[in-house]
Amino acid sequence: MKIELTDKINEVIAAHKSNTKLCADSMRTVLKKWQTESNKYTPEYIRKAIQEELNTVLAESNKTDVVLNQKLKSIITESKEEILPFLNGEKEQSPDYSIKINNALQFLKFEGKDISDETAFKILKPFINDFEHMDLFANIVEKQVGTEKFINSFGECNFNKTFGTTNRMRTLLNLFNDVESIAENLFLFPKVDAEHLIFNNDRFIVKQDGYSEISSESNLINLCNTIADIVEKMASADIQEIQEIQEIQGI
Amino acid sequence: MRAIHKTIQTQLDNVLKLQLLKNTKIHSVNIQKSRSIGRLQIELSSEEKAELIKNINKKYNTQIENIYTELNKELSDLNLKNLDNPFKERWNI
Repeated sequence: MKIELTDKINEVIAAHKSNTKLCADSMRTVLKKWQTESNKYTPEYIRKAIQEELNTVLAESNKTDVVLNQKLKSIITESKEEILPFLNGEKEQSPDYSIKINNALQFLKFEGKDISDETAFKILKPFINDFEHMDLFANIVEKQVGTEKFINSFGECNFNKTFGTTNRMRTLLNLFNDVESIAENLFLFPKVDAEHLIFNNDRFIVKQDGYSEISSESNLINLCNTIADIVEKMASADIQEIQEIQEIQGI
Repeated sequence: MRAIHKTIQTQLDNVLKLQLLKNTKIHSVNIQKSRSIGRLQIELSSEEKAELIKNINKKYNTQIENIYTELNKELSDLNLKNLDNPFKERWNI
């Protein structure tokens, strides 16, 4: 499964940069235009007119950024919805699903604190693609065996066979939360002063993106790359798992 | 649900295209020095330019508003949050 999240976000960021450049160019055009008309009006009138036009150019550029931000958020939501069904799998609709869960809980309780990854996997195999329940089972097993046995000194889960996918999904959800939080106001940061243009002894300022915005864009891309890596790894792990099951069943 | 995101992105792309077209037209008005009436070349005053720019804004902002209205109708049908049209407030004032 290949996700195009990074490519799409890169495209939107490029469009935003192009919009910022266009805004700066338009501001310079406004000044050039008034240079040719400087003899017809009083300096006071020209100063006021230039400032008004520059404000209009900046406002229009900001509105384009609002649209780009809306597009960015839509891309992220689309990607999240694309990835989550893949991770969650189809939810079982069978009427005895809750009974199966209860049985699994009883088995887990019966095994107690001595439960191994292999045993937990055998008990929880039917729910392996149901993230919500696996998340709850992970908490139960962690409480039963204790955190020090559940997670090793490197911070990795000792029940990787059973809860490896669940942990990766947790990571993905956290990453998506971070991505959404960065994207919330991306492109809408107040612009900073970039270039000072002098006209008739008056100073006008061309605006551009600040450091915090550029840094957020870079962080967003890094997070998206991480998401893409995890999804790819999960997809290849899934194929491997399916092959293992097929081998066991002799298909 | 994925289909609505494709629609949102396509429609927002249309908004961006209209905005670009609007800016291009405004830019050409800004650099335009005169207008033609038959063989006559009449110099454009800044007031005339302002009027032309106002008309361009009105034309394109109306088209953008139509796109947002249509899109928001689809979003409402799916019980999703509507998108704000950043261009609406300005020309209504």
